[in-house]
Amino acid sequence: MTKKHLKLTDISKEGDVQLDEVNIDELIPLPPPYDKNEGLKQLTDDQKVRLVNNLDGFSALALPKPKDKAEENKYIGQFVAGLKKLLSKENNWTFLQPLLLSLDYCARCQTCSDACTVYTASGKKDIYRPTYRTEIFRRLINKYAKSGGKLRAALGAGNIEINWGTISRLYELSYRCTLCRRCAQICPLGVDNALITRELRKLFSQELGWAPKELHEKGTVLQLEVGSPTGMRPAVAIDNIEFLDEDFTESTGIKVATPWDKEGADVLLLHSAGDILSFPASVIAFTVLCNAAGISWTLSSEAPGYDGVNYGLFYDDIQLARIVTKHAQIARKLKVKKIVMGECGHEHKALITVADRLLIGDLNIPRQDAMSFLEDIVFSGKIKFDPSKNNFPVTLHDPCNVVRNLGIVEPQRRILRYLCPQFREMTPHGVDNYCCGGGGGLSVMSDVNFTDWKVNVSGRMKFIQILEAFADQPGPEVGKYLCAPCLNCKLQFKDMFKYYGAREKSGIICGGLAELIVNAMVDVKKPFITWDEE
Amino acid sequence: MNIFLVALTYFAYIFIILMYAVKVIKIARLPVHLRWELYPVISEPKGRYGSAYIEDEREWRKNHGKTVRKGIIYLLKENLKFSEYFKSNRWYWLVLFPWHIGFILIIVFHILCFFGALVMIAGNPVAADSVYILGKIFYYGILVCGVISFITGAFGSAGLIIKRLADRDLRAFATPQNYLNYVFTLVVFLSGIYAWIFADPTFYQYREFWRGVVTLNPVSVEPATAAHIILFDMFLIYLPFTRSMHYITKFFAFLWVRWDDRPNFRGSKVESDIKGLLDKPVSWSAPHIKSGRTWAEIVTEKKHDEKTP
Amino acid sequence: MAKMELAGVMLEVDEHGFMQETNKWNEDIARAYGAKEGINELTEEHWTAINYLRNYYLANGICPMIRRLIKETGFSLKKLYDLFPEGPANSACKWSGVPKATGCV
Repeated sequence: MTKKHLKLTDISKEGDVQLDEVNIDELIPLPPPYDKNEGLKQLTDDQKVRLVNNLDGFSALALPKPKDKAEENKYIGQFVAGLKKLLSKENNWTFLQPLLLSLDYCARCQTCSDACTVYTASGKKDIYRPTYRTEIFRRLINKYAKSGGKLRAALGAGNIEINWGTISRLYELSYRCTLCRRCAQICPLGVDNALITRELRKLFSQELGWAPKELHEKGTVLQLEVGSPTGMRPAVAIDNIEFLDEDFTESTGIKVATPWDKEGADVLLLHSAGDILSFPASVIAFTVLCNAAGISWTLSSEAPGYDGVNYGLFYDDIQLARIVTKHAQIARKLKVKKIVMGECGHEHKALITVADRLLIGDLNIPRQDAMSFLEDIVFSGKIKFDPSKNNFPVTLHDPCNVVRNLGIVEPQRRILRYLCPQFREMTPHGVDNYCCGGGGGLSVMSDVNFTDWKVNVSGRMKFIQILEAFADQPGPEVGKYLCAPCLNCKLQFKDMFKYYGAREKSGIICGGLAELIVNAMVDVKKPFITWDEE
Repeated sequence: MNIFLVALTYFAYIFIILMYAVKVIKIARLPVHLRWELYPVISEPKGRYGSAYIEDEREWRKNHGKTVRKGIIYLLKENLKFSEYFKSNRWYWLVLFPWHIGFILIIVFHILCFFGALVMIAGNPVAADSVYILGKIFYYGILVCGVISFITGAFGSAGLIIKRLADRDLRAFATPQNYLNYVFTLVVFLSGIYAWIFADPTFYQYREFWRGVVTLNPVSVEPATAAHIILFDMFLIYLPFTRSMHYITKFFAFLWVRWDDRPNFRGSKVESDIKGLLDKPVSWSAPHIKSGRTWAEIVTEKKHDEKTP
Repeated sequence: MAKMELAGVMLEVDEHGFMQETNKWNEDIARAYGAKEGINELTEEHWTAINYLRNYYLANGICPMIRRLIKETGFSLKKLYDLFPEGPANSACKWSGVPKATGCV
């Protein structure tokens, strides 16, 4: 099969033309037993009639086709207005300087392409280059949002037409990037294509009101309304955690209880509510550890103080700011000394660094990452451990938002080196890691056939890395543990492992860091980690 | 003609310095942005393996005391070596590096010419057989820089044209302006080579021309040298309209974004800047934003003009 | 919005076939969902799970944790997969007429 070469101007092709397609045999190969291809899920005929499908044969956004030309033109007009607002100090002070530095000084050298997990996994498809969407976006900004732009475009500065095809494809394409920033890291000029991609998402969300429903309508909007994108209200959160505490107490005989809304506690622990539903062991493990280490801690039952996620980080500055402000206000009201993150990568980045320049005065409350918090507990000497209880192969996934984006590299490794005799690193790891494939909000997005894209394309490099890390004991008879201290990553792995049957074929399961610590506790007699289906 | 060359040279230098200054000031005056650093941050004490001071924040923000010196030195070195390109994109480096060496040396060449002129005015002849060591140094410095610059620059320009045309991935992203830039730089460097070989093998005329520029006492040069001077001046005037600024903006991209992990300390300038920015009006149109209010009002869901309790 | 006809009723559904208007649900719809996934008869055990899920959702606005579902129905996870081919989240919830779970789950 010959590789399809795309021109930048192809983005403006007639609205309904599909620009490219993903064929599973063009992707980089997976090792056996994962080398058998099942084909990728296509849109149904009914979906093809209703939904925009003009990019790569996948739909993450289920964008309905416009009724008529007038509707198309309305969106095109809004898009151009949005381009201008991105360049305004009032509307976009939050990222204006980084945006301009990334827009104006890219040398188009394509050095970043090979750093991209999506581009590499796809067998180097032009459409997934970090620079493809950003160069188009750059040319649109230069042409439509700067004075004299149209003249310069005509004179040879790069000319792209805005039409329905351009904006609908760009919208979908802005969600083919995991915002992992591996491309930014390798750029010799400091250009950040992930940042530009996020600005593009922002334009769609803040001006056109277009955003993936999992991130917006059922994400940040729901979180601000009821407390959590899971739809979990405060009473349900309390009820769920009480259930988990009782369940643990019953099955281990160790009595645990979770403190709620304790004013003046040292630590407000801010889990992701998704962990309660999908990885409850993580929540229990934190409870067990905090209690065993004698930490003065509390959870908050005030919405959204029990759900630390902040999808605004992925697509919308306003929603981002609203949620970090709420979180900080809740912590201030409880008079805690600091907020400690749960194992959720984007929560870390949103609240620890990005929010730092949104929170002023007494709202800028001290915040600590989960990794160093757990490190302190493990090495406090207050809990007795038996590392031989963790004598199974363990590897560590570095969540981009904790490691590359936040610089928290070593605490989790100190813990694993101490508690997991068979700990091994992936290649590459640390700040050079590959994304799980679910970054940038992708892991919670599953509309239409998008899950197939995530598990086959964006997660592919990581899946290969995981298999390589365990290549010494590949069979399912040896239980292996992928430690991924981030809910978004864990959800991506859950989808991926289910899709590939990784537990059945290779004995690999995925969980967080706190679970491994509890599993090594001398006082917890029954294995805390099991390879049974969860 | 002679006076024209001097005037053009003054104009070109003043123009490029002003244009660059305006651009730098524009970038520098942009508002403070949200933190968006990327690790490894080179100035961090444990930056070698990527760790941030955040790893050690049990004592909230006690550990932050970093210097930008390390970063600046790294970037300066990188501007001379291009080791990032060498590591990750070697074929491109093979033409990009000489091209840039051509630029760097042509600038050094002119700086030496300027100071050489001062040396001459001070009464020390600049020549191979000068009795003054300074005269010898400037003579050879100018000669070596000029020749290497013209040759590497011409090689790099031609190489980049070929590389960008031959490599389909690069070609797809090239604009007509890219090629114009390469052709222009190629012509500048080639005109330098031509003048050096056929008109001015020791750059005697060039040095004299610069003495004339400094003393405002124009001397006449051969047409080949004059052509190179005009082309180079035009090149300086053209530069601000290209991406050439990345040589400077790169420092901002790294120091102010990628490595900018300055915490927002209470009572700091950052904090007061942010307070000001939160009072800016928002006019985004999406319904969930409910624009027409300031950032602070929108974020805390206050109605416009509602008093803070 | 996609539409789907089930048990003679035209329903608004999401792209994965989950009902969007949960109040339109009835037992025949559950049976029709089951039939689409190859389960032609819903047993007492199916109804135990479906009724529990549905009632929990109506009371709490969210589907229960899997662990709670297991505890309250007494079915193991394996049993739940036997009853509902795509598992509790993708089959049982769908047949119960509640929207697909979202938000980091």
